[in-house]
Amino acid sequence: MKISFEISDKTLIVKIAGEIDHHTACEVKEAVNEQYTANNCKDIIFDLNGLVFMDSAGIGMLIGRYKQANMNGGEVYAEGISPEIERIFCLSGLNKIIKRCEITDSTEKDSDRKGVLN
Amino acid sequence: MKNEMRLNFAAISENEIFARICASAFVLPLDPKVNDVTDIKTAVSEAVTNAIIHGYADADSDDKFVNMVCRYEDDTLYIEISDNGCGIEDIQLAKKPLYTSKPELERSGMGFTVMEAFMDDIEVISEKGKGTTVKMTKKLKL
Repeated sequence: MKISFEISDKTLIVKIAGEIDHHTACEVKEAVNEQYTANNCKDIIFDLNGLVFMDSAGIGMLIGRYKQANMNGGEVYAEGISPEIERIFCLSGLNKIIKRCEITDSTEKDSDRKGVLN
Repeated sequence: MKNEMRLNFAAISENEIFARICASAFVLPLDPKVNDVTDIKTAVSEAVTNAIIHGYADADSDDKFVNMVCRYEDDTLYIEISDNGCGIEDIQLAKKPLYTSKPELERSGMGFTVMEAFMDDIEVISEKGKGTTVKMTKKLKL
């Protein structure tokens, strides 16, 4: 599993490639918490274009991040969900709390991204 | 076609990926559909994770192993995942969607629900202090 971060305004963009299971979910949780707190972020965008596998540990981790952002008045968005991972999202009801967005290019301007989110 | 494999591995979280990749590799001779492979990988991942974090949660010994048996006959796949851990006191409660005995670990409580959704049949056999066996069956679309 590979994780990288980008910060735009007060939005933390988390790019995850590889697989999320119980083992890697713990790593994601710690890394996201550290970046989110250190940079005083509000919203979180998960870029899951490179994610090839996720089990219920990913559900728990995403719900945890949703609670964290919510306490801070923020939202959690996800982008690039494959059809396989979509099934886990539907089954768990994650669809109801994690909003969808589109990031076409990670270098796009903040104003463009805000337009997509709104 | 008939085939079977048995695997015994240390109950550490690094082996969650090892177990699901072994299970998916085992069915490859059947030329399975991508969806079926994802289902198998996900269900195995859930059962193995349960063995590691619940079955052996309080065990101190180094002798913590998870056993996996995979077998297929024609288009039907059988998977058995067992541990010699603490066992499940109330199987019905454990299977309940969103129930988790470890909310502090950010567990979603969806493990058994995912196994039930992604496999055709699941049976849980457990005895307190002895361990748990999860038996799953899936008919593959070949």
